[in-house]
Parts: sequence; C-alpha cells; structure tokens
Amino acid sequence: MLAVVLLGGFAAMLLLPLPDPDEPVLWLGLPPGAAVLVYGVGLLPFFLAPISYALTFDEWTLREEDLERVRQMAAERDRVGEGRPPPPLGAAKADPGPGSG
Amino acid sequence: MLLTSGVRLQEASGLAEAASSQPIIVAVGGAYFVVVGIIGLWAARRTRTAEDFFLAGRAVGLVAMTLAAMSATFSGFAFIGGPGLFYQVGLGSFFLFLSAAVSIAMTTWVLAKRMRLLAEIRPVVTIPDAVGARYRSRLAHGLAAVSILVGVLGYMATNFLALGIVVDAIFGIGFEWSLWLGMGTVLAYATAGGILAGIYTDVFQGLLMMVASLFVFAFVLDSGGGLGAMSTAIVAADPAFLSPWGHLPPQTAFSFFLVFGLGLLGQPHVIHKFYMLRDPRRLKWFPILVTLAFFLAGLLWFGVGLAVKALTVEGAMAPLENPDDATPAFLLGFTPVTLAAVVFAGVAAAIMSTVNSFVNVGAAALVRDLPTALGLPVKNELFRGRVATVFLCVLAAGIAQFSGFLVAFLAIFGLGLFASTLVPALAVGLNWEGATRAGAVASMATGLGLTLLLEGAAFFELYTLPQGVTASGAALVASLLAFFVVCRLSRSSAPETLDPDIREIMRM
Repeated sequence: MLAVVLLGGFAAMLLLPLPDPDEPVLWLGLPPGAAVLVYGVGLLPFFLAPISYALTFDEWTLREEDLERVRQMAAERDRVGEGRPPPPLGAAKADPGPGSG
Repeated sequence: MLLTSGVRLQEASGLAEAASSQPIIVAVGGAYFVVVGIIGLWAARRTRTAEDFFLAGRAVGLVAMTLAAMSATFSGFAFIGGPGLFYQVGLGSFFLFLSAAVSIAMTTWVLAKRMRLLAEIRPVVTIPDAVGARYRSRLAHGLAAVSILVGVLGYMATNFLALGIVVDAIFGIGFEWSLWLGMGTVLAYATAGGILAGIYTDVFQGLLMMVASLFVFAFVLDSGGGLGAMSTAIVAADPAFLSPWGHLPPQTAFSFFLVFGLGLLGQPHVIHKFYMLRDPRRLKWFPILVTLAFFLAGLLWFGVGLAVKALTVEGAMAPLENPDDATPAFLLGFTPVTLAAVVFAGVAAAIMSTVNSFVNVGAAALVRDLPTALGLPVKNELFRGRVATVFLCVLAAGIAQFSGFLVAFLAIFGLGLFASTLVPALAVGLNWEGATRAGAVASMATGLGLTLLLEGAAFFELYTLPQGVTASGAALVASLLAFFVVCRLSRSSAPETLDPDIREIMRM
C-alpha cells in the first residue's frame, strides 16, 4: 500500500507540467506537482502507515502469546544462568560477550 | 549543514547580535539552561547503575521515548538548516523531510519490536551488542563500534560548533565562551544523569518546540497572506522553486530520499532508545505519536522556508546573504520576540539533546563495545562511562574550537556513515535468517571504507560522483550489495551464525 502510494505519487509528479507563472493552478494552495509531493507522497503515507501499524499490531506485530513465549525464554535463561538477568553493569564483573568470530 | 549554518549566522548578517540584544531572548535562554540543569540534577540522583546511565533503567514510557527519538533525530538542523535549505533550493529539499514518512514506518516495522524483544532475552545495551549477538561475532561487534565512534565524534564536533554560535546568538558572550558554556552544560548533565537526563530534557524541549513550531506556522500563514498567496508570488518569480525537485537535480533529491529514508534504520542514537521502553506492547502507538511530533516540528521547516522565499520575491524582506539566516531573520522580523526567544533557546536545547544522545552511545562504544570486541573484561561501566563522556565531550569541543579543517571533514560523514555501516548488518540482518557473519563484516567494512574514501575525495576536491549522486547514497547502495553478495556466497554458514533464541525472535 505504502509502495503504491509512493510510486503513484512519484509517477504523477513526473507527468504533471510546471506551473504557469502568469496564471498558476493551485491544489490546496500549492502547484499540482508540489501538492502531489507534499500531500500525496509526503503526508498521506506519513499518517496512513502508522495507523495501519496500530490497527494490525495485536494480530500481526506482537501477539500476547509471542511476548509470553519471549518471557518464558528469558526465564529459562535466568534459570540456567545463560544471560538473564543482565549482569549488573556497574559491577566489576566481566560480561561473557558474544561468541568468537 | 548545521556547521555552515552557524558559521554564516555568525559572520554574515549580524542577526546574532540582533538576537542577543533582546533582553527577552537572553532571559528565555537563561531559563532554558536553568531547567536543563534542574532536570540533570534530578536524573543524576536516579542514576545508580550503568543500566540507568546507558538505558535509563529500561523503564522509559512511550511518550518520553517518542519525544526523545524525535528530538535526537532533529537536532538543530530542522530549525535552522532545513528552512535555509528550503529557501535555497526550493521544494526538492523537502525530500529530506518526506523520507520520514517511509523511515518512521520502516524503522518501527523492521527494528523496534525485534530490538525490544532482544533486550528481553539478552543483556544488550548498545547497538554493537545487538550486531554482536545477531552474528555471534566479536569482529562484527567491533566494526559496528568503530563506525559509531567515528560518526559520533564528527556529529559531536559539528554540533558543538553550532551550539557555540547559537549560544553566542542568545547571550552575546563571544564564540569561545559560548562553545565551552554549551559544552559544559551538556557535559554536566550527560555525565551526572547519563541518558536519563537526556531523555527528560528531550521531553521538555521537544514539547516546547512542537508548540513553538505550531505558532511559527500560524505567523507564516499570516505574514504571507496564506499558502495560496505565497505560492502564487513564488511561482510568478521562480516557477522551478515549487516544482517537485525545486532547484535540485532529481538524482540528488532521490539520493536524499534514499539516504534519509533508509538512514534512520542505522542511527544508533535513535534506535537504541527502543531498548529503553518499559512495555513492548506500547510500541503499538509509537509510529502515530512520532509521526505527529515530526509533523508539528516539520511545520517550521516547510513554513519558514516558504514564507521567507515569498517575502523576498515580494520585496517585503531583503534577499538573504546566506540561506541559513532564514529562520532567525523570519523570527526576528515577523513573530513576537517571546516566540523568537523560545525558538532560539529551543535550537540550543535541540543541539544539546542530540549531543547528549551521541555522547552516550559513544561512551558505551568506548567502555563496553570495544573491550568486548577485543575480548577484554567489561567492568566498572558506570564510572568508566562517565569518564568516557568527559573525554568525548572535551575532545569534540576541542576539535570544534581548534580545528576548523578537521571539524569540516568529520562533519560530512554523520548520517551516511551510520546508514552504510549499520542498515544492512542490523536492519536487514535482524529480519533475514540468510544473513551471515561474513556478509555483515563485508558490508560494514565496505560502508566504512567507501564513505571515508568518497566523502574524503569530495572534501579534497579530488573526485565527485556524477549526476548529483551523493557519496552517502553510493556508499549505502554499495554496502547493501556487498552484504547480499557475500551472504549469498557464504550462505552455508548462515545457520551457525544464528542462536536459537534470536531466531525465535526473528520469526515472531
């Protein structure tokens, strides 16, 4: 959806002529190409994408059961001492760090 | 950009003197510094561990994180350099800002959840920690840390230079005193309160700037007779100004879009704030809030650039000797002095908040990431983090004051270096199980080397890319290519690169 808005907006911008200096046509206060850029390519996805994200968050992005599973993994790591909770960073204790490489 | 902004502001027009001669501007500027100091003291009392110092105790609320991310992204450029660039090259400059529409959504979709969940299962504190954990590689960890340190030093020196000039514009005490006063203020609260102080000064200044931006935009519309009247006046005198590319070549406008659109995915001082969010479920509202914040702050960028152009073509304002005077000239000429004072002080505060974010990730790179990469023990991080903060601040301020050459050279890297080194390895790597350690190392080495080479060649006027393509854009594309090609060639090693718990998070 975002890609369609962006590609459509860029295509429209390329096709629209430069404004006539003597009698400029304005769309919402801007020449047509500028209006497509600001309102279409700029503002529409600016608001569309975050709203889509919020509406789909619980189903697609972070489900409650996923978060629960992550917390179980963290608890399991705590139990076997593999890295959670993080070592107190202010303490004089070496961080095992990532593996070799 | 901010560098030229400040230097021109100081040298060319006398606007700095005009601002500092206004008692209200001095008073509001002074009040700002007092509030920042109080927040710093408050944060210092709550900073007891390195986790508090580097991650605000992983207990930041959504609104605070949003405002902090917005403030760290914008710096003073949005309020000085952005409107100036708009006045200079027209609508094409807006590609820098429009890329936010893509980058906010993409950053949230691609990185926010995974980084926040990573912080649930691993003791990650920094961006190089995430790179090292993803690839189980100390070399990748170290390369990310080196890239961050180089970029941080450049950003900090440039911002200190600009801060000195803006503080001088407010208080009129001379550049050198202003530079060290500004640096000393940042140093005090960054050392005492770490990122916790930075987060809450960001909240304060971000809220104030959004409100100020809204008011400035109202004065923009009033001064120019409305958007339609301003457009008509500009089109009659300069039709290309409001064409989609403005006076920029389309390639340059698209380079802006690419580098800034993808670049946000690699900005360590912004994305490492995802670790700090108290409740990962609150990420649901992050894009909406940050979009509103960007939109409000962007009104000043767009409005002032447009209004100053319209006022100059109509003869209501003399053409500017340098474009970066657009905001100060408009504020001093067309808004109440109190509003001008808030914006001037807000610019100083915006720069300080950005510097604080940078010095925090830089200090973490010095005391945590480089020792980890070298296999050395990481200890006493809180104390060492404070020492590293002092070291980086003094070094960057010294560069800003004494080495115009070095600061100008370092200033050109910034965002592009972070983008080309971190976007493939981190943003793509946390979303693609086929990414390999060799691919990550190759892409970071390519990004680091090519950015230094191309930007250096352009700086010394040895070679400039044709057709207006930016060095940062070329380096980003090259590092992405290196990443995918090397990952493909080394694909048999992909499974051993990825720990099961991280794979689990990537599949969610």
